Amino acid sequence: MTEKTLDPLAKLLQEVFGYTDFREGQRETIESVLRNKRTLAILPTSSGKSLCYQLASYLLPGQTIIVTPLISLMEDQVSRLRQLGEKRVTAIHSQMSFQTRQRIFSQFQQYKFVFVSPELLVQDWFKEQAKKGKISLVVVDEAHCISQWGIDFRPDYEWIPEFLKELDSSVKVLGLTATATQKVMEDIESTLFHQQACHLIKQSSDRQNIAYQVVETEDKTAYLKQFLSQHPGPGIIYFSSKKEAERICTLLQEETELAVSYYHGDLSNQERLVVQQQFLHQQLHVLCATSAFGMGIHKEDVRFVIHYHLPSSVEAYVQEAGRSGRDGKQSLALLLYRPQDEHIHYHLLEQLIKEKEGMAYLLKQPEETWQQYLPKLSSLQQKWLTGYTHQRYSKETLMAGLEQKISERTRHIQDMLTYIHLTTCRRKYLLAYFDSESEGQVSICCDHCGLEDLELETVPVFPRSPLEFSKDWQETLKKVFNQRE
Amino acid sequence: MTDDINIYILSLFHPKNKQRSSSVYQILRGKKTASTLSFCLFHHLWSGFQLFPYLSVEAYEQRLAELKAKGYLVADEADGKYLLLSQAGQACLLEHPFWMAFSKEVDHFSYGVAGPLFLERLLFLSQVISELSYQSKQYEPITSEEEQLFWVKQWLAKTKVSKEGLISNFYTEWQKLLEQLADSQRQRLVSLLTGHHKIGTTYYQLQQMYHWSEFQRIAYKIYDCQQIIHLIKTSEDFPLFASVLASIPKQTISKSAQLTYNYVEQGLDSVSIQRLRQIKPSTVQDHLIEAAVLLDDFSFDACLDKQVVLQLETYEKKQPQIIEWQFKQVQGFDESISFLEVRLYQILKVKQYDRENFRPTS
Repeated sequence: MTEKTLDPLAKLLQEVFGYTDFREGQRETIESVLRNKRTLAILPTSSGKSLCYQLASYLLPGQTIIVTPLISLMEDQVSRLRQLGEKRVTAIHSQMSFQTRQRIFSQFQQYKFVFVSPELLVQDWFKEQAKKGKISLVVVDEAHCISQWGIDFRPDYEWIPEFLKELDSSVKVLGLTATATQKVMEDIESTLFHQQACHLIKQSSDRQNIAYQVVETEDKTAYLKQFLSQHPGPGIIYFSSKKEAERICTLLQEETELAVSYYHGDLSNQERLVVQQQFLHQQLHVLCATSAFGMGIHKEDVRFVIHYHLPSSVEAYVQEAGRSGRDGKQSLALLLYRPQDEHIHYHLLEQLIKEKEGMAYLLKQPEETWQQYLPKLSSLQQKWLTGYTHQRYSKETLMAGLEQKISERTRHIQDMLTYIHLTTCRRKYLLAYFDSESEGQVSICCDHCGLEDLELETVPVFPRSPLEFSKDWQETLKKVFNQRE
Repeated sequence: MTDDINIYILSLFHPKNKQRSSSVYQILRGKKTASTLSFCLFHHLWSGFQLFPYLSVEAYEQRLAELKAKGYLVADEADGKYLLLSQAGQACLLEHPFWMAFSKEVDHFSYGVAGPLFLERLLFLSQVISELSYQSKQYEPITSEEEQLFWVKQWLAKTKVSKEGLISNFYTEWQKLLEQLADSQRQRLVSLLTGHHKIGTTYYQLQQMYHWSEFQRIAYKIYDCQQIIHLIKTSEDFPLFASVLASIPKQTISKSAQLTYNYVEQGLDSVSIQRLRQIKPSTVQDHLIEAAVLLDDFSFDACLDKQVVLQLETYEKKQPQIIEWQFKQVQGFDESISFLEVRLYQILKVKQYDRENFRPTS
């Protein structure tokens, strides 16, 4: 590549995004998208994956469709692009009203960026619009969903290849993910790209400024309080239940001096954004969150990510832990473990096995009798059955897929437990897990390599009490609407 | 110690008008039938409509048992399925004025969904206008929902006043609104506001700060929305806020019932409507009851014969407790009167009474 062709990228980077340098992997990904038909980019968390397709899109003539697994993530990306001054951006998902969709479709071709949820890709009305539009690029964000969440969680992702087949052959495809083992990578290549050659960009998943620690304790809250008295944040504590996030949040509010709030899927869109803004703008020390918080949220100075519960997989753990230290400063990924924490995951696994067995029983019954079983089926079983009746897979494929899913889930729990009980370097384990290599010697690595020198910079936080606004409500109101006497 | 949910359930009962406990349950679950809607109107239970959509019969019965054990609710002597509020129950409610006000003033049927959506729009619009007042274009909106973003754009485009006028008028409406609210509500609403250099708070955060129960958090939010809506609807001081409210459809009559009622307005009788719409006579009856309960301008004249009204007025003199009328007893008085006519007459009279006594009907 010559200097002449490189220049437009750097120029655009500065003009549109305000950055002077690319992060590692970004330039390679953009260049690959511009040159090749198929690209798979595996870039670590906080590497700026979104910028790759955004910048590439500006150098392509047509529209970019971005398939995104979560509505919240989709809406966040739309907001971020709008803040960059891009008005030709929209999102379409199944929770939108018919009128809103109609309005978007009436001006579909005017959008440069269209974010869609995967389930829409099989809808005829969407396919019609997509064919009418001038699509240059389809981005599959969080491409590991094809493999990791597979048949039970995101069957919708399996519809992407079918959708791609219906588009013009010149349309480029970019798969983006932060967490892909060799197996997942192969899954993506075979499912998304039909085994056709794709250009692979893979950056090391080593986040050198993140130290890893596991603490085994019977009293997690006592440990948390002690930890927070030394490291006030900003930090995120992840929970696997909304109730626990709320409970610990209340406890920390009452028993520490810190400003703590919680964030989970029961909050409305507006409530989530308000809490998010409080956290981003240094009004909260700690956020107690479920996995609903994270994807697409960019707070640079998160000093620690604590897992209060056992994550469901190493992939999920690395994704969430990677939300610390985006600014490159020393950060910590701490996992609190109490023996038997894994029971909840085994319990969920048992449920899945029961559902699979129930499904196997149903499939053996004459099809005309299935109707009577429908009310008794779980939502997951109903999804499986719908897939089968829509001829997306055979009985054999479905059952084999479920078997595979169960063994993968079992392996995920075991891998997490292996990580917890390691007696050797945790970073090396994580790097090996993702077939990645270290980028060099890390001075503050993990609890087994020694964390004596670990210091987490304290970021000033300025909590705002709701009461301070309400004491002199007239003054507050005047300030809000810039009214002077 | 009686929890908030029990206090609220208690507030739904009356010391004189006995109520069937299972009907109250259907209202709390939100069963939208002609019968529950009439019951809601007769006993003024709009605050409870669909307030607990997932409440199980067992949990509800357990709560009633607790209230009975404390002597707050007593079973009617003639029929144990009917309950009355006892003197002890009344005394208990007097110690909880918020729940009495909530029960009396909230219309969860019409605004259960529309109220919170209205408040979210009002808060979002407040942020937009606050940023506009500082000429700031670079800010993070407190919504990322495409529908809300589109709505605000449209709302601003339709506003005919100048930018300065809009900011000033909007500020004045907030000021007038807050002036008319109680201190505690004012505190809540001011803290919710997000604007230039001010990030608001959430009801969840207020719950934690004030140590509310989960139900209190839900109820305060509903009550705040209801109070604002009430002020906006009963005053001409809030044209901008009223236009926000107008953008949100409140729950009202079902489409099917509306269609039936349209035919009535066109002068068609029940038999013709049944034939035209291919529906059962009982369905037409249900549709008309629904329309009579929910439509402010329902034409009783079109459905109730003058002679029937005169007959029922005579019966009313003998049995003035209209809401306790049993159809069989009315038939004993005049067997030519139909169930629909009796029910429509009851609705007509209850609505008249509510209007005269300034009680909101849904």
